[in-house]
Amino acid sequence: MKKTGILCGVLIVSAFVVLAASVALAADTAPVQGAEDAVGATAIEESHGQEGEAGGHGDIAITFVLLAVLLIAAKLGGAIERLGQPGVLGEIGAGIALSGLAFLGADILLDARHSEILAFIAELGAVILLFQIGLESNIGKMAKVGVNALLVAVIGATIPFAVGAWVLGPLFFPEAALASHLFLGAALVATSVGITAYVFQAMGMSKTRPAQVVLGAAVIDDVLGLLVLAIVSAIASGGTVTPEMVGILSLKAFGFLGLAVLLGGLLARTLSRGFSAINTGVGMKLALALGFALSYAYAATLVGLAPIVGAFAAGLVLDAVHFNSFQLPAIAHDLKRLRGFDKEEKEKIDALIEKHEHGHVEDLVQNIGLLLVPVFFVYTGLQIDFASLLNPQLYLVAGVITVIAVLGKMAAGLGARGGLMERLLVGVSMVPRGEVGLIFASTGMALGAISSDMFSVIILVIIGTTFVAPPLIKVFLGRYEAAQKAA
Amino acid sequence: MEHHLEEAFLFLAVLVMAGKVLGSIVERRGQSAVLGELAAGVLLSALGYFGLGAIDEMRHNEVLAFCAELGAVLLLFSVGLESNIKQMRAVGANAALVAGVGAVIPFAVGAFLLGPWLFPGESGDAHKFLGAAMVATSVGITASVFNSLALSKTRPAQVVLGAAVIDDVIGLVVLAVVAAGASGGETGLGVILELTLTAMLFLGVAVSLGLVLVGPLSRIFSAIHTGTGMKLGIVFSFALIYAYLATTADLALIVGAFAAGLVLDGVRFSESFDASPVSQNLRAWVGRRSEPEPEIEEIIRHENEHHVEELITTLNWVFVPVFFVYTGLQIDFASVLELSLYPPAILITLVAIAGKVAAGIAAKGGITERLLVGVSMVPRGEVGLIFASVGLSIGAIEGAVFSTILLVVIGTTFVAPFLIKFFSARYLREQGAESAVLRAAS
Repeated sequence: MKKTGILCGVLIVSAFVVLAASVALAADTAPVQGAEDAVGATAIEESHGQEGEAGGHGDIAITFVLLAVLLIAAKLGGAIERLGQPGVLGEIGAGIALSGLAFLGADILLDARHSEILAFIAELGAVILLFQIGLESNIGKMAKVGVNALLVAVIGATIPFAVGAWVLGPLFFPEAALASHLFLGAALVATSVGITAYVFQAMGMSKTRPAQVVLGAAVIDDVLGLLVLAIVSAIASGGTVTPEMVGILSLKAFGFLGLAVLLGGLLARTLSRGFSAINTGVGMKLALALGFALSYAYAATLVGLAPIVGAFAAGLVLDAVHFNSFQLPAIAHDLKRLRGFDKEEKEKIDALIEKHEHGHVEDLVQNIGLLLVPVFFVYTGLQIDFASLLNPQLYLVAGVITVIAVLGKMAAGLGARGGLMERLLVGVSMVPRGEVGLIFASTGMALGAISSDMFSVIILVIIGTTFVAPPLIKVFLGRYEAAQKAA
Repeated sequence: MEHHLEEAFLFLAVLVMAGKVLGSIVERRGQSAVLGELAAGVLLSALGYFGLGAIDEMRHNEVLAFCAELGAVLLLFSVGLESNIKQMRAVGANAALVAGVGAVIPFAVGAFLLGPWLFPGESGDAHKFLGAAMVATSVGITASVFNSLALSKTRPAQVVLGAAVIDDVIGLVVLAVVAAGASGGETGLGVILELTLTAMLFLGVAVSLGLVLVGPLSRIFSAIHTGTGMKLGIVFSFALIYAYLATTADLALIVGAFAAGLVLDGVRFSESFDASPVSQNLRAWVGRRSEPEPEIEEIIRHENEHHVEELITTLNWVFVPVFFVYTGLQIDFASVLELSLYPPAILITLVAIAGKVAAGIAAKGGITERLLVGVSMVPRGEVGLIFASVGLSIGAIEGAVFSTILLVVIGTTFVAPFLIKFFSARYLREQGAESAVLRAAS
């Protein structure tokens, strides 16, 4: 284990050196190439200039490389999974490392930071991510865990938000506007479903009561978080806060989600019937699912909400049922053709087929998510102003906020049912902020609501909570099991 | 900037869905889906012409341009994945001949015969641009038709792909020289040689270096992580980087992507990575059983061999239609309505088709195979559009000639899928009959 760790470390470092060198090379050759052209044939350069005007051909080519650099960096950062940490951490870390290279003079990475196309690809990644989370959440299941999860979620949202926005914000960033304090609070709200689910799954605990409560609460947290985000963004763009405004915005956000979910079910059924009448292929299935998600993302922006809110709603609406009239994945076909097994075995195969059938839309979206979601994380890491990380005071601030963020969620756990250990377990399981927190930070940055210092602090806090959560969960999981046995 | 991004979500949704819907409708009528996707683009362009302002924004949206280009790159990459170096080398000389004839005849006829005859009032440079625009081959359309008919591995497909790569080199040189001539630059033999050599050097270096690098790359990255995400990420990045490198030699992005696919052997690359989740489940299930299951083993093997291609295919479903719809969208609908230009445009289109068919005659094989190669080179597509827009932007061509070139591009692009499909079917039938005869003889 130690050996692989060291191996990974060496590999990552060497790969980054290679990466940096290649980037520097690319940055160097671009102007040289231009010069050669000028000597060789002026006309070509000219025609290229025009081409650039017409289609941005050269820009696109450079953007390809930058996209590849982000992607490779993300994948290298993924090595952190070997050390038992969630991949997200490595991907943010890779982004920060790239930001460091930019700070050291790799100017081309500054282009990456400001590239509009990469910003879109990253945002598309966030949209796909929230669409995936929505697809996996199920309104029925959410209702089942019910009141208990709701209580945990509400406490876990309110305390961190209130403390973040009205205590920590004014304390550490006295000069910043109210809107940026609100953003700080909002970023502390959402629990990362992915990381929590991942740890529970790894420990074989997904089916236990605390796990169910945590997952339910995390989904509700996401919805609460997105609502808070919508309101806070509107305040940040408007500049002022009045009670009526908050009321209107809440209504709007709730109204959108409610309407989107209600109408969406109907819309999805009609659309899928229409589309499957044209073609029942797998490609059509994916086009429909993605088209639906993207349209919802756009619709959300029309009422002043973030695209991710729409994507989440789209995922919530779409269900495997809506795709019944489409073809199965190719492998399911192959398996269905199998003959010559007795009944019991046939049933097992059928179960396997059904599992993949059911998750097929999710699988398809996941193939796209595999590429785009890491790009979002690296891109977010890259947005960090590396200079701000050189300020030691920042770490102190981030450390304090991380401690509060952990305590806030542990307080939420007290709202759960069961013995003390179970409550604490629920609490620490809600600690990792991860993806959604990152989306909040990048939205705040894009709106100009938060300073680059605060952005760095939020990212550090997200890293901190994500980093401490798995060991904490493991400790309390052990105690919980011991308590269960004793009882 | 924020506003810009939000709209791109809607545009992307429209392009993906419109392409898929029209493509599928056309496919059900027995035609290639590309036609429907291009038609969807022209339809959107028509909507713009009749006053829908959003279409113009769509046409100039940078994000869409990027996604479309990504679609073309992915398409050629997956075509490259299906081919391999050995096959390409085997058809090399033949492909060069096809490309050469397919470039010389259309250019000569366009620049020195049709140009002066149909547009006597225009300058010689305009005539040369007309000829140059007829040189280009947009292999994306052909590749897509071949892909959907599962023909990518046949000899004619290999010849066409090889010829298209060489065609791109020729097109690059022709465009550079014609553009230089029009703007008073240097057009000597030295320039031609330099351009050609750079392009060839790139292809040679890229391919041989790639072949050496793929093994170690797969080992290094699978040592870090063996998940599907890593596999897909590295394969995809490889294509992107190659696409970029091609542009440093002034070649098209898609030529680089094709080279990347050619170099990368999906099966060998996957070896050190995790198998796909489905086959893992099956494997675990088979492992628990006492007796061997050849049928299931076969399914697992098939699934594993195609995993990389499958992953890329999912991406293709999203981005390739975007490319074709976007290409259709670039067509200025106003030029479609200029009826007076139709006679010369139709004439030039016929010559453009005949020129490429003549090139096909230079290919090996029976007459049907030669004709198939020829018609596969017919579509001018987005490459022709690029040529025309370069000519327009440096002032070498204007109004009538530009619109005519656009019409020719539309004509060749829309006629080609029909022709390719027709000749492919005949080719397949003949092949089938031939192998039946062989089987009977043995």
